[in-house]
Amino acid sequence: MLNYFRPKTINECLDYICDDRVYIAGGTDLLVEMKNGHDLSKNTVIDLTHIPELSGVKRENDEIEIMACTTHDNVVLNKDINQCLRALSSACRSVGSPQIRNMGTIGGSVGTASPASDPMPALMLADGRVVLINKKGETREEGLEDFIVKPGVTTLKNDEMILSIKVKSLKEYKQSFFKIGRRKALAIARLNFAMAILKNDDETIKDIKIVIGAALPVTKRFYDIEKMLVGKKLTEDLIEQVSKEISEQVLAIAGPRKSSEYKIPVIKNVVNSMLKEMEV
Amino acid sequence: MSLFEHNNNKYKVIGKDIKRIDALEKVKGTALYAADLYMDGMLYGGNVRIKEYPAKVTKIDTSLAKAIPGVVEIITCFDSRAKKHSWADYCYMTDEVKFCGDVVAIIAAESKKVLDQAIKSIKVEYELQKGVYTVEDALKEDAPIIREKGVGLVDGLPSREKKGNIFIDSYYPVRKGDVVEGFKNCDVIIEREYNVPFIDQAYIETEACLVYCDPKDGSITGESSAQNPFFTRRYLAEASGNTMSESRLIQRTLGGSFGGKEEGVGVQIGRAAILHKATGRPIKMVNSREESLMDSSKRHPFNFKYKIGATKEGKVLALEATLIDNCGAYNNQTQFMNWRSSVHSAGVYEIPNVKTDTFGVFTNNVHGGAMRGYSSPQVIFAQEQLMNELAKELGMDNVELRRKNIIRQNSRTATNQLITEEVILEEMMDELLNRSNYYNKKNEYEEFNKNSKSFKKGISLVTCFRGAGLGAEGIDANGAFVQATEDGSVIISTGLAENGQGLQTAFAQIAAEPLGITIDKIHFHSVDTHAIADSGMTVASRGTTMGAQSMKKAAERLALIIKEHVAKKFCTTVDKIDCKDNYYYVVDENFPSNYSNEKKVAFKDICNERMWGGEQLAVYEWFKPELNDYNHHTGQGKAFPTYTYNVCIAEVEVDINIGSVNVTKVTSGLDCGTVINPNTVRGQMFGGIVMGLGYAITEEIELNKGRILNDNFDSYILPTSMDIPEMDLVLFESITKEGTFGAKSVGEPSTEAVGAAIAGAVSHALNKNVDHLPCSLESILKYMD
Repeated sequence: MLNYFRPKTINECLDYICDDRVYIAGGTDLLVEMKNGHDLSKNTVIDLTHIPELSGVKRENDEIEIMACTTHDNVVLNKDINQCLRALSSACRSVGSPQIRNMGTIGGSVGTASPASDPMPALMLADGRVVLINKKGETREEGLEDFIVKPGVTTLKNDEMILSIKVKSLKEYKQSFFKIGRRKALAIARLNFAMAILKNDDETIKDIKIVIGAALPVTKRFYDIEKMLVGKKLTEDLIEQVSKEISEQVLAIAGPRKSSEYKIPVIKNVVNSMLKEMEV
Repeated sequence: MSLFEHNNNKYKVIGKDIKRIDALEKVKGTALYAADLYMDGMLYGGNVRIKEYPAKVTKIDTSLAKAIPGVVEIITCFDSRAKKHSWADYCYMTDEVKFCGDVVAIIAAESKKVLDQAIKSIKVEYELQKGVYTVEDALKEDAPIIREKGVGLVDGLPSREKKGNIFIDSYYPVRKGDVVEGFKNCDVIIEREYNVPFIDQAYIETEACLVYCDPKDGSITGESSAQNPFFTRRYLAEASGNTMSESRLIQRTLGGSFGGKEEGVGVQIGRAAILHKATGRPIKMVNSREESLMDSSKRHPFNFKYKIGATKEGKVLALEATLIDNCGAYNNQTQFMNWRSSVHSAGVYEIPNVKTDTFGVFTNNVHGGAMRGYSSPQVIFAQEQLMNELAKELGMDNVELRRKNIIRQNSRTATNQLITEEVILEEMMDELLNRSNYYNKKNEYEEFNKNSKSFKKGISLVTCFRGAGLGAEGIDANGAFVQATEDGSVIISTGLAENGQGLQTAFAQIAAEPLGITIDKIHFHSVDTHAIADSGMTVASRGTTMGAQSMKKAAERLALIIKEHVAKKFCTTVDKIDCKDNYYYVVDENFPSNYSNEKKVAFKDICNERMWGGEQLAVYEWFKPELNDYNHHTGQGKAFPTYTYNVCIAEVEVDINIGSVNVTKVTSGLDCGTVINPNTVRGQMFGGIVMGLGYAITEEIELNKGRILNDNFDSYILPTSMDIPEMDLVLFESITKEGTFGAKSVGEPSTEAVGAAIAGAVSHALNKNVDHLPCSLESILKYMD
């Protein structure tokens, strides 16, 4: 028998958590899985759509907390995110279609751990951390890169749920997000990119962040390249070198696959042109 | 000038923007589609398939499924009640699975849920066999033979002397002049190869039917999403064992078809009929999207090999080509479609020497069938890309090369048909060149491309023509019934079907015109095979141009009957009577455009008088066109009574960093002969452009050993509203004595040139020969290597 609960508060929700729990927030993944044969008859379904405190965006100085059930559309409309993390606004605007953006949630898109998640590169760009709460009400935080183990797998424990995603404001940074899909809407990312750059007065790089999604099993941030670039000026040669290095790194990790024929040169092209645009 | 003008007063109802008569129920959501039907005692029917093919089924274990409460009937291919082969090549059920859509057992259950459970519980044992999936492999000497009837190649041409995988009935040669001599006189000769993939019609409504026994008369009745109700009745009668007269097919509102709801809905209703016979209960079958993609016909993939030669001035002297299409495992379409391919294989050009060979090859894939264009989108893509390549080789402008070679009045086509009618193709080209600012844009884009590293822009013009109706492929005959009632309202019915194209409205206009009544007086009774005679299929864009001829005849005869009545009333002769806006009146010679108040009578009053006077108020008419004189062995003769001409200009912007193609504008011009309903024509053209865009950029059935990998619309990529370009439509009219009120085809011409035009624009942008579709991200990147 299927158990179904629709709690109104987080506390009430915690009571229902059990080993066979399945969460439904926007349902944009779960309903598709059910149609594809995922049998929920032995599960406990916890519907998170009626918990007001699980939705919304809070800003405290340089930290922004996006509650797990905030929809993509609400992220797009949020002023704080528009001000501080424009890359995330663009990323959420590129998700699916209006219907999906009205239903799908930021927590769901993190929890599903799809390599092609659109918000993920922007969240990682802002040092995103997932906040988890367990049945006892204890919370823990984990960086997104650690939380996502492989496609469809996270470190979320059976007695836990996602409470929110915390990100750092990148208000001073120049940011951009770019997505490649097979059409202009309702497209799963073939590749997606997020970048942010902060410069010193002398035009040298104070800080830079580069993230690429849909290229590897887990969205990847290129910390070593970022570190290498600090203090340098983005010359054409350097941009050339960086885009080559990043595409080679991806190839080294992914290995020669059929999709690499397309993805590797495109990563190089796009990193190159995004860095150039940021330099302008 | 042949531009269509809105205020042409030649007609009363024809050529006017009449609102679609079937629009309201669709907009309100009250239209009943086959999947919306329910009946007391109804069972849900479903299919059992295997996931690898080809295979020989050795055992089917139904014991688990039978034990599920609510499972009413299971019929496997080994059951004595199983009917295997249909009249049209496809199988209702089979133990020799040749492709992904083949069914090994059918089940009827009390609910959809139980049905799905039962399907999963059936255990099928089978021996996998060696399959053949590509044309290249199927033509190899040692390829496994897929069909008994397949033949081999002798001296490069299909021959019954040898076994092989060629579908001989689909072989059509065209032999005009002498290509060997022709090529000798050419200054430039090029050879090119092109290929295109399987794509799907992707209608919103999947195939559905409800089969039951009509308690009134015992007829087995099928209500179905059938594009061709009479064809579907043939499957219903065959599978049930009933006579045609005791098999009734009612067409339900269609949610799109585009050629796809022909054989697929046929075998579906056959399976439902078998289950109905076994259970005695109503059976409903509705395909899921995945099943629809597996089981329904696709647009044929083609491998094209072309050789073309011209003088240095650009006069094309010879063309030689092989057009080979992938038929899939079963086929009842390629033998018709390839005839059309062969007729159009040399494009809309007058070429003195033509030698082409067109044939289909069996493989273990889903079958190719009809899809809006019936081979033309494929052939025009290859043919027009070839012309662009020839222009490049000659150092000539693309448009000028076309101008030098296009068919004009008194030209002879590839089949040596003398075109005696007016041809406005050059005028259309000039109008479109002008409207789209073609040459300025071409120069501007070429200048832009010199300096742009990431983005490249392109523009391309494509010309083509399309034989209207069936031509020498079949007999374009049809019947119609027009009955007036005592209150002056009129019921019309025809053997042709509304498939979403706007046929009801066009036919109502065609009936209203001679009858002098307004469109609101007409009720269109959609196809019920017990109510009207078989008028062939609603295909080949024949509905309005050929299929409405009987409707016009019937309405004209009824109008004459009414006029005689009125003439008698006013003691005058029939030629003095005219009709308009629901009135019949005596024409005042001094004021021919007006009618006098005294000498007029309402249509409804005449109808009322005649009804109570026991006079005829209904007319049934039949139309059979002149037969075309065509030799199928040489591909020479009169192929079609008339042709629709078409010019399309596409503009694109390609991001070569990522390989994406953005279609920015499409300008499309169509020679409609006579425009019956401008809004409907525009609707067809808008939709046709979007469909062509999908073919050009994103759509492709991905296959792995015959298995369809992208079996839903998350991975089978159709354009969305966000992908739609700016569209500029130009409607032309021309003079033809063929076609109802001079109307030509619209439905298929609206889409057939679009893919070619976009591919041409991409070629222009990249300065490369785009040789396959779709222009996907990956393929664009490869051109840039």
